[in-house]
Parts: sequence; structure tokens; C-alpha cells
Amino acid sequence: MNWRAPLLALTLAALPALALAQEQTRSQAQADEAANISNSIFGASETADFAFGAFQRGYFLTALELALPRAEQGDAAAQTLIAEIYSKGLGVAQNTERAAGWYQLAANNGDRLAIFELGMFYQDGSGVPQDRKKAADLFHEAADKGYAPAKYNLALLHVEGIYADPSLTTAAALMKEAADAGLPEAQYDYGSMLIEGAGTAPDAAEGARYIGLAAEQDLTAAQIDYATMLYLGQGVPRDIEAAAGWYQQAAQGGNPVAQNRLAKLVAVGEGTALDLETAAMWRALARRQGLSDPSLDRLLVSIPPDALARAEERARFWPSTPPSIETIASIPTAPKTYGPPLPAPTDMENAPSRVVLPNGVTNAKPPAPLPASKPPQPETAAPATTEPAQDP
Amino acid sequence: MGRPHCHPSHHTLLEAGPFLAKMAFYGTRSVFSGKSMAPQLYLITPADPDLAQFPRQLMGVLTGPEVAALLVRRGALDDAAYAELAERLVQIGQAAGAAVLVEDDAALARSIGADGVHVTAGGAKAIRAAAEALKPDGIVGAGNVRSRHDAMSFGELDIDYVMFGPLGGAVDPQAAELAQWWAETFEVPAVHSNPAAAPDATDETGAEFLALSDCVWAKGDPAVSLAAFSAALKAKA
Repeated sequence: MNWRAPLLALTLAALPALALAQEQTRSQAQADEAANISNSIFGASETADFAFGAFQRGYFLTALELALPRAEQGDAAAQTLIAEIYSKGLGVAQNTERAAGWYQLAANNGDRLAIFELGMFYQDGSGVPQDRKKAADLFHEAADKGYAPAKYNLALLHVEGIYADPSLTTAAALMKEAADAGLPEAQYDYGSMLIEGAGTAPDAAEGARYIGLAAEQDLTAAQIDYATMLYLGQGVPRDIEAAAGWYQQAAQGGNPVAQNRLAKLVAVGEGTALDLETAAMWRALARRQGLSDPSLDRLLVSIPPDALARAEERARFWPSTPPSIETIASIPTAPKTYGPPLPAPTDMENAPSRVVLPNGVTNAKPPAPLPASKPPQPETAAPATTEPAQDP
Repeated sequence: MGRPHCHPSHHTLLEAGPFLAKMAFYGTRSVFSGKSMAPQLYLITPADPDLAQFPRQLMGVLTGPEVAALLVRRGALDDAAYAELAERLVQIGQAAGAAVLVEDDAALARSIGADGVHVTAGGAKAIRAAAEALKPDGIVGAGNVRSRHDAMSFGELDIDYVMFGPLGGAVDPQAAELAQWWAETFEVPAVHSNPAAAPDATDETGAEFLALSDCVWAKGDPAVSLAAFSAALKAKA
């Protein structure tokens, strides 16, 4: 009868495996069905780019490993990905020559980002010998493929007029395309061109609008210009409070010009509350970057010495606040307890039979007998004392 | 193939700043790197030469157009026969002003006074060892490039050229594309080896060296066909 046990075991082992297989085919069928429905509604999905997924998650070496075989097969996206990894030194030693090699391969396969980045390499002479003519050609190619940063760079080359035809009109047209694609640098520069009337009919209102768009994208230079235009009412209705707000934003970004101008507004209370101490803080921050301004100093001559000292202290810790009683974290001494006190986790079973006291004496002797009038306390009720017991 | 929707990088831009300040900022720097010379000739000996006749034939061929480098191919020869052949060809090649290279064996190159070694086996490790043995006086070239990644890895070592294409036999269909890519991107010179090259179809890869092998030796008078290659390259340049 010995053979039955193994057979039974075999059957038992086989059952879950069978069930698992069925389960798998069913879930596979469900997944296929879900994919079909999804495709019928949203159109066929693109295949997942696992290398790019790894790249996005910061697994750069995995991304490199996954992209290499595809790149050798001529996959432009994979080639660009590898070029990025070497160009920035992500997980590998930075190697601009190698990056240039991969960018070149991807560029040959028509990848516009690679064409643009290769153009930057030739522009700067990094990874390849500097060749600004070639850089201009590459920017042209990427711009033709609709890549906004390439249009911006090409516009600048047309302004410069050495490696592209000197033509402000062409530059303005390209700059507008890049600006309308949402590139903040292009919005700022196209706004400036509109205001100057460079390559386009002057239009202060439209120029201000473009500079405002760049300011909203956190381009500090545009924020300062836009604030100045709001303050002076150039191309936009005069709005001193909005101007102060934009100066504030650029000042928070660390720009000394914005800090200086904000200090002036705060010192006289224009568009914002008057606060000499805060004004002095912004002045200190701008000075720290080398921007001294006698006209601002005149606005702050009347500041009391203690306010000035506080302002200097705040500047020292900016953008944090100086440490104070309130901001120093309190050191927890005892954990706070909530609710009724719980019984102490001690009982006589655990209490030491000989308590060693600080002065070296012990309470080895049994405690003195209690008064006869009271019944003897049960042992468990006796408090465990840590107070120095005095010998009688 | 799925193209990532967002770009892996933030773009870098030319100088961003006020528009007019930028105009003043630009100077008139112009650094052009011109590489427009005609490719030089790199001659590879046949795989199984008639050991008695070949040195004489080579001497005749080398009296023709200028050959920059001569690679003595090992073919099926054993070490002793190869060493003997290489030793004789070193003298002939050097007498004609060509740098003579042997295949893979840096120690042999040293002992017979060859100018360098062409490494085809052993990858980066072998190239590094050869460079250690022969540099700075000797030449070290890398061949047998199987991928773009290989090429770049070899190119970063202390080598004098990277060869694309086989030493002889069937043409590698990718070699021309790789050689072109290499020549336009990297500083290390490229050697484009096309065993089926024809003099009238000039090399368009831009490689600094054109390696000729079977196409010279296979038919007709090698001296005549080599001269035809040289003339075609000069006419193009």
C-alpha cells in the first residue's frame, strides 16, 4: 500500500497547478478583451518604451542596457536616449564624444531632438570640433521639423547674421513660432522685438502680452521687465500692485535688481504695505550680490537701528527665518499621556529584593512592622520605593 | 516604434537674455574644421599569397601610387609562416614608405620591426595591451567592429584608427554607413575597408583611409588596379 501516498501527493500537487493555468488563461483573455475595448475606443496604443520608462524612473543603467540593442538596430528614440545618458553623465561617466556619436546616428534617422542637441554640440564645440556653420544647418533642420528650441536658436542666428542670412524679419517670424509654441525665452524675446519694432511692426500691447506670458512661466528677466511695464503703464494699464507682485516673485527667485526695486516699493508703501524692516532686508540681499543703490539708501535713512538689525538678521537667514524661541523645536522631555493614567508596569514579583541606594546602604532588612491596629497590607500593594530609605 | 512623447532632456538654448544685449554679445568667432582631403590608401595583402612570388609582386605594386599603410594579413598561416612572411614584407613596405602593420601580434610587430599592429580579436582588452606594448612609437588600429557601441569603446582607447569592414571576402553592408558616421563625428581616423571596391565608384564615406584588399589582388594586374584607385581618388579630390 506504499504507492498510494506518492500518488495522492502528486494529485494534490497537480490540482493547484491546473487551477493556476486556467486562472492564467482566463486573466489573459480578460486582459486581451480589455485591450481590444481600449483600442476600439482610444485607437491602437503605442508600444511601451521600456528603456524610456526606466530612464524616467532614474534607472539609467537599465535604460542603457535596454536601449543599446535597439539603438544598434537603428531605433532613433533609443539612440537619442543613450546620447542623453552619456551627454549628462547619468549613471555613467559623462562622455560628450560618445553622446555626439549617438546623437549623430539618431539625427541621421531623423530624430529632431537629436538634431538639435547635435547642433548645440557643434555650436559649443563639445564632443565635436566647434563648427558653427554646421550647428546652424542642424538648427535649421530641427526647426523645419517643428522643434521650438531650434526655431529660437535659428532666430538668434538670423539676428546675428553670420551663419544664417542677416534678416530680422525671418528672425521675428521664427521667434513668433517658437513663442507661440510656449517657449518662455522666445516669448520674452519676441515681446522685446515687438516693443522695439525689430523685424516686425511695433506693437507695445502685443509685446507686453508676450512678456507677460514669459513672466508667468517663471523667466526672471521677463518678470522684472513685465513689472516695470506694469509700473510705468507701457503697453498695459498701469497697475502698481501687480508690478509689486512680479517684483516680489523675481526677488524671491534671488534676482538683485528685483530685490532692489521691491525694496524701494516696500520702503514707500507703493503697491504693497509700507514696511521699512522688510525693505531693508531686500536691500541687504541685493547688496550682498553687489547691487548698492544710493537712492534706496535715502529712502531708508530714517529706519530705527533695532529694525535695521532685525532686517540684517532676516537677510542672513533668507529665504528661511532667523531662529527664535518659536522656531526652535522644543526638546521632548516626557511623552505626553492622554486619558486616565495607566497602572505602573511594576509589581512586587519584579521588584528587586535589595534596593541599592545612592549612598551605598541597602534596605536588606525587612520593613518595619506596621502598626497592629491595621491589618497587614497584601504584599502586592506595597509601593516600590526609590526614595532613600533612612535607617532607623 | 513608440517615440517618447516628452523629451528626455530639457533643451539647452543659446544665450538667453535681453534681445539687444544678445546682438552685441556675439563676436565673430569661426572655428572651421576642414577634413576635405582625398582618402589615403591602406593596402591589405591577400589571404593566401604565393609565399615565393608575393614579395616580388608586392614590390612591383608599391612602386606605383603612394600607399600610407600596408597590413600583412594572416589568413590561414600558422605563427611561424606568418612571422616569416611578415618579416619579409616589413622590409619591402617600409622601403616604399608605407607603415607596415601585422595582425594582432604586438610582440611580433616589435621583434620584426613592424610599425604597428591591427587588432581584430580580443576587444578592448587586447587593444589596451597592444597600446601598452607599442605606444608611443608604434601604431595601434582597431578592427572587427561589430557594433556602434564597440566602435566608440575602441575609439576611446589610445588608438590611431578604427577600421570598418572586413579585411577581405564578403562586403559588410553596414560598413560604409558606419565609416561615414565615424568620419563625420569622431576625431580618431576611420579606415573604410571595402573588398569589392571599384575604382570608378569613389568612396563617399569621408573616411580618412580607404582599405583595398581583394579588389586589388583578385583579377588582372594589381599594380594597374591600385593605380586606377589612386587616380580616381585624386581626380575626385
